[in-house]
Amino acid sequence: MSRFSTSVQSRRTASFLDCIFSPLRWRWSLLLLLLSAEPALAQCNSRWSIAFWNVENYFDTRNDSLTNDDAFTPLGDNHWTTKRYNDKRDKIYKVIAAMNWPDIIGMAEVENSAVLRDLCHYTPLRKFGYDYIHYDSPDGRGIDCALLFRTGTFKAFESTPICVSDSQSAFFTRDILMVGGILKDTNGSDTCYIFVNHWPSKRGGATASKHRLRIAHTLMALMDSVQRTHCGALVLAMGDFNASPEEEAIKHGLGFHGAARNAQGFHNLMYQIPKGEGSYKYHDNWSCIDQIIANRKLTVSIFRQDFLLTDDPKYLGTKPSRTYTGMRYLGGFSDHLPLIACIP
Amino acid sequence: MKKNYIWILLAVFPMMGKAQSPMPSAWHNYIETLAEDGNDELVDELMELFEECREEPLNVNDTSDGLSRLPFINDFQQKSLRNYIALYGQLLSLEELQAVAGFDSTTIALLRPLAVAKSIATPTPLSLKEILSHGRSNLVVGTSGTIEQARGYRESIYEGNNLRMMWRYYFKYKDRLRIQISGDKDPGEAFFTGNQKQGFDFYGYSVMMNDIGKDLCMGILGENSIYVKRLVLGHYHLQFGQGLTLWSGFGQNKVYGSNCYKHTQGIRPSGAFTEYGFLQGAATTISLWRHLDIALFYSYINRDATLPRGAANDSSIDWVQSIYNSGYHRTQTEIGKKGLLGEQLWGTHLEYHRNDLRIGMTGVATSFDKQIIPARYIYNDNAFNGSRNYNIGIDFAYRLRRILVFGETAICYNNALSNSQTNISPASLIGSEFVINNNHRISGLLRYYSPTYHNIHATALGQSSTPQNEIGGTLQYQGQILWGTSVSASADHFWFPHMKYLTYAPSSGCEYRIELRRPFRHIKGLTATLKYRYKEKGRNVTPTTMVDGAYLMEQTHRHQVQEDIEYCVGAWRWTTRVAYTHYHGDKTESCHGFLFYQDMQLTPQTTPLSIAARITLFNVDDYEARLYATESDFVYQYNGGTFQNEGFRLYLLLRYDINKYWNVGMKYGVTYYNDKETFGSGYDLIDKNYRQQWRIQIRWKW
Repeated sequence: MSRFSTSVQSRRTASFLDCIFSPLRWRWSLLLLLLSAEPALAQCNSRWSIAFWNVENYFDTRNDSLTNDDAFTPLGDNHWTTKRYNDKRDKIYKVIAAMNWPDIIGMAEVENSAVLRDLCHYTPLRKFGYDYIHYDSPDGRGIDCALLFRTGTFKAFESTPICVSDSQSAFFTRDILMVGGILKDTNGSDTCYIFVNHWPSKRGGATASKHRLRIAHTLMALMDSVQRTHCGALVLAMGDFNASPEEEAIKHGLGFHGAARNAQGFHNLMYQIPKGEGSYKYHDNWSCIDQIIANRKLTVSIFRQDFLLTDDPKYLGTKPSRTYTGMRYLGGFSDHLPLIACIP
Repeated sequence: MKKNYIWILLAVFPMMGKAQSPMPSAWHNYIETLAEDGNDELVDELMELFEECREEPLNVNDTSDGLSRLPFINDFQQKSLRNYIALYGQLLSLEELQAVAGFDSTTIALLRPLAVAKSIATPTPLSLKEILSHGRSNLVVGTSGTIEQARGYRESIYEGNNLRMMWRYYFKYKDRLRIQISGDKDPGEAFFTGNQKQGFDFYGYSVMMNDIGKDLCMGILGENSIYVKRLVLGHYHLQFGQGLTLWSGFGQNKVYGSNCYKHTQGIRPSGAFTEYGFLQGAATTISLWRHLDIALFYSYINRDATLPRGAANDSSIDWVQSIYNSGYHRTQTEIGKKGLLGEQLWGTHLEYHRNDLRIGMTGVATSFDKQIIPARYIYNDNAFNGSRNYNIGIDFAYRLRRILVFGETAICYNNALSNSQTNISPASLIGSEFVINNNHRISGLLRYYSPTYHNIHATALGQSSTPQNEIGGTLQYQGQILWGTSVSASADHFWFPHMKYLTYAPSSGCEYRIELRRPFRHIKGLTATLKYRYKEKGRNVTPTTMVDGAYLMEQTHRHQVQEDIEYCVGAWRWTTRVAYTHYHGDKTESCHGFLFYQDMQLTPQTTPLSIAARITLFNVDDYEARLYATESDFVYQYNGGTFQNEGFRLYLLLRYDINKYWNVGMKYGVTYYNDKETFGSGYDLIDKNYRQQWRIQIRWKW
């Protein structure tokens, strides 16, 4: 058997190719070494993904006598029938699938545990081991925040609803949902605390704005204390804040003052999103009222897919494909687009 | 030199748009596994399918949109997809496929680059205007050549020059109509001169129409009405059941992934450049009732055949020795073989399908206009010897939840043994697939192919290309184990009850394969694949000479280990491979093979130019220790990529998407031997120790 070094010596007249390639023969081992050196392996892949989505009125069809959900019943103003409900459930499932099965999903505008049970157990999400955490809150319409997670990668050890309603002024709103847990995979685990928010809507005017500022102070105080007591843990707040990063509640309430990072060391990840893009469209203006704030600089993106959008004949371009406008059923997904953050 | 060309190219064409991504590694693996089993023609057809589907992706929501054309998707997977759509509505994204029963990670990885999830547009009524305005045309013209002149050209033994020239045009309207014509001239074949006055040596043509009159008939007679499901004219293939009774063309005869079960393709048009193995005539599938289909077919074709020695001088010889499958007509001898044997084939296939059950019956008659009398060799005792052959077979498949059971039994009837007695011989297989969950599946298959089972158009799972003279059992596992590692393992034991070519005694053997693939999650884009393959089989010690009045037999062993490291970052993909083979017999000396390559692919998102390059170093002692490495290539120009001897190979491939309609590709490759003074053998002998090849291909679609 001939070896690399003992090649035939009696060459004919050297051709063009010989001139080029013959030196290579003697340095094959060197060439081998050079070529096998792969480029720097520095870049990290996301080990886990976290999503937030305001699902727009995910109600069941039954009337809850304690809340104002009458519109979302078969006989209510919105004619919320079982068929429409099932369609909504399947659409939420399909969007979760399209986001490539995030490990954690924060949700806003969910009526109760029953609708989440339907979503996690009566759609193919069941195969992927999704479970949920949900508490009823004192909101007038009975919509709450919830957290969905994959039991394979996330283990919750603590969860509390944090009441931010003001009973003195009879202002009842959605609780903040706090969940502590461990994200794990084959290479290790990571402790994280997640706050799911849905702050009072802009329709409340000046009163709501005042309450948003109050809630912002509460949230930042909570996050900061969790961060100080659990060193190194990922502390992350996500939600529909009903205020864009330029508004007072975020600027002053959360202490960002127009910067991407505040004094407590939290990053508003939405500064990564280019101007003019957003997860919600009001008239002709896209805004980032859905936000993710974390004590690590994660990458975040808006899950903007064609199927979540529809043509906007009035203000041109596209807009989120909603389930309802007013009382008119459109059969879309939601008036908000989801956000996805990656944890490296 | 090369570099200058690139700069000229960059200056000439505008730098806009986005280059088409290279073949994904799942497909690369798939193609390479088939190539290792020597299925070059199947690889060609698959590459064609890949390119076509990538240009016009299949819609997973439209289950009639040709998903069945993909050989790795079986009818039960299609059915579970239909059920899923009925339950949860149309798919919004391909990620949803993970939730569809039966779609494992291998299938999804193969399907992903070829499919999209779109909502189905409402069907428009069929009219000539609609077909012409919404149909798609696609034209490919390519040429390739070798810079060094081989002996055949220098001594004018080959009639033509050493260029390969080919073109193919197809017109396609959704999945309803497809017309294809093509021409091919192999290197060495004459072009408008000599024996090829008609220009190209081979012209391929086919017309396929689907669902003729379906809407009309269903409107009148309801859903149980008769209509023509498919009609194919020209060159076509017939593929029914598990391939024992009728499976023309190139079928997969080895297990890939977990597919022991062969997906019935029915009638399909032949590939553009396969010059043999196809049928020629008309074939149709008619839906008689909602659950019952009948296929009718007739074919007449003149095949190439080898004449016995001395036939040129003896006009009394009116038989042929064997069918000659190569498609080359370069020398006077090869031209003399062209179209010598007329083959007539006709028959029918009846299929009943309802819910999870499928039962089929096939009957086919083949007759030749001359006798085939094989050369008198010891191993040819049971070879087909006559001019008529009949095959009848029954096949079934039944799925009960997670278990799929399938099988086929066929018999041949003829007088085609050397002693002219009536020959009725069976061939049979039965198999099962068990899906434990989406991550684990097992399948197994038992087979018995009689030594005297004759069928020219059959391809079933086994060690040989035709189902004859073999008993065996296969067990296959595919799944995900710890740390995200995917495993594919198979074991195959086989016995040949009668002698075979170069194995002049009954023999047995086994084949084991294991493949471990692991993506490293903490390093983005890094994947490592480890493959091990072991094969043991019997063989003559001295191929054709007797030792002490007998042929001496031995068991041979071949080990192959291969490690691939793939790293994708941004527009780059780097692949490093190290492969080693060790071959030895019980009584003969061992030999080794070693191969290393470093591959680079660059597909920028911002420029329409993509580049692939590779350097391969190899040192292989013998043909038995040969190694394979599939290269990036153009469709229809695939070459096997087998490595022998000692040396290295370099190639560079550039692909430029000028705009939506035009695309140009160029390839240059050189193979250099260190241990030899010459390259190739026979008429292809080059008296230099290297060979340089080039290719150009232009594609126009509109």
